[in-house]
Amino acid sequence: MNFKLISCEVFKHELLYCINKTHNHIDAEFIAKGIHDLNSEGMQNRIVKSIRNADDKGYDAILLGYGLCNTWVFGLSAKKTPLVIPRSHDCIGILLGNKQKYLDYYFENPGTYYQSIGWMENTENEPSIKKRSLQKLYGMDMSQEELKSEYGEENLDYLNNALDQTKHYSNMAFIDTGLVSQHNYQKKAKSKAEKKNWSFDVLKGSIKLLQQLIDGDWPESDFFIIHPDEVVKQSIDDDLIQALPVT
Amino acid sequence: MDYLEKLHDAVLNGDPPTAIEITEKGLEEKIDPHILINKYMIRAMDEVGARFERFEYFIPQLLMSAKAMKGAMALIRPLLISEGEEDTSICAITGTVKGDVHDIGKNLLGALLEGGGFNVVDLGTNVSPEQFIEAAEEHKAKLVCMSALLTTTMPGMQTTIDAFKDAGLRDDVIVLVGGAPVTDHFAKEIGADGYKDNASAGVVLAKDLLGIGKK
Repeated sequence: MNFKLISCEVFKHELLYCINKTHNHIDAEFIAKGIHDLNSEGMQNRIVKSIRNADDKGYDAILLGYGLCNTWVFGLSAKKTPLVIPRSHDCIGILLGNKQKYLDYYFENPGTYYQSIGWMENTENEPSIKKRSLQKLYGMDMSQEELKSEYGEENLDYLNNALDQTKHYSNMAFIDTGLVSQHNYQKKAKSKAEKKNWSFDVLKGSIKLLQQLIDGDWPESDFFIIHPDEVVKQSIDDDLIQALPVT
Repeated sequence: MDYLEKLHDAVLNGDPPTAIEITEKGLEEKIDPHILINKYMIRAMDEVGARFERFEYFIPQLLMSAKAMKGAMALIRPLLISEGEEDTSICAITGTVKGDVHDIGKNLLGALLEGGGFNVVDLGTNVSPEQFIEAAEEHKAKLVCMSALLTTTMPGMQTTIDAFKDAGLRDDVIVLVGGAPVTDHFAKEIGADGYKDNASAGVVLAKDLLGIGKK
């Protein structure tokens, strides 16, 4: 089979490993993780740009290395080529290889900051994305110096606390997907957790879902296929997503 | 009493010391606290919300306005209580649903609800359906606002609404939902009364649904 892969760079190591093992022909394209900082429409527009470029090239399917990642996927439609996407809330569920495993850990450990190689390698955003990010739009990207000069030192603690998205976090979980050379990343993640005074956990990840995506092995429970002239809608059950005909 | 307009400006411009100073002066001169709240501060916070919705105000600016209003209210509230006045403001419960510990958006909504004259009882984050129900009953809340930042925790909104139904309390409260992954479609599917994609619009919707009307 001949597939186009359009994926978040967060899976780059794992997917390159999977591509090496598959019999399928894969044209891979990785997109900056930073597009998650755009609003849903901005994120969808960027991914759709790549989908449309690939749409009339005769691929058997276009594989999407993304989860729901909030709401970017809703409203997405397939034109000529079917689109395939894992049924997962986000990359963490994909890296753990199982939606339920993710939910179980998640609800047992609220306030967990997840890390993986891909997360740790791609922390800095491109200036062109930064400029259009939600952080910029809402003024949440201001440096300490900017906050101090704009609102005064006496308000710095108040603002920092109010703007800190991780203030109620208490745990860090590093997902080890079993690829070699994760040790240094794990060490770095652990020291980051220690600095924050958070507990630290290593979770056994899995490349199963990513390998299935690449291999064209798409059971309905774990993958969702959007056929030409269908559009993705939100589903409030465990399926997460559904497709309806384009109206 | 021209100086009282400075209270409006101090809240609008996020200047806590001035807001406190003018409030102290006003109270010394026996200005009715309700006038300070309704005529100056709520009007200012309405404008803050409108500017935020138009992307003219950043979140830090909104937070500074909220701080200014909170500082002034801290002086006024004890007076209202000591006068034995019954609190006639409408109680709104806010909270982030079970499993979710994110609260920036929820806190912005809380600040603007307070700025809009609501008595806000914030349950914080990781709030179970039982906690929402208990608080709504205890405070005779008319408004329940739930937040979720992730699709993993979003179903907690439906669980909570169902729990209100099971407890026979669903018709007693207006339920609003919000947060990054929430959509209008989702809000309707789970039986919420409304959804908005920003805190300011959420306050306007709450007032509309409660028949308070736009000020």
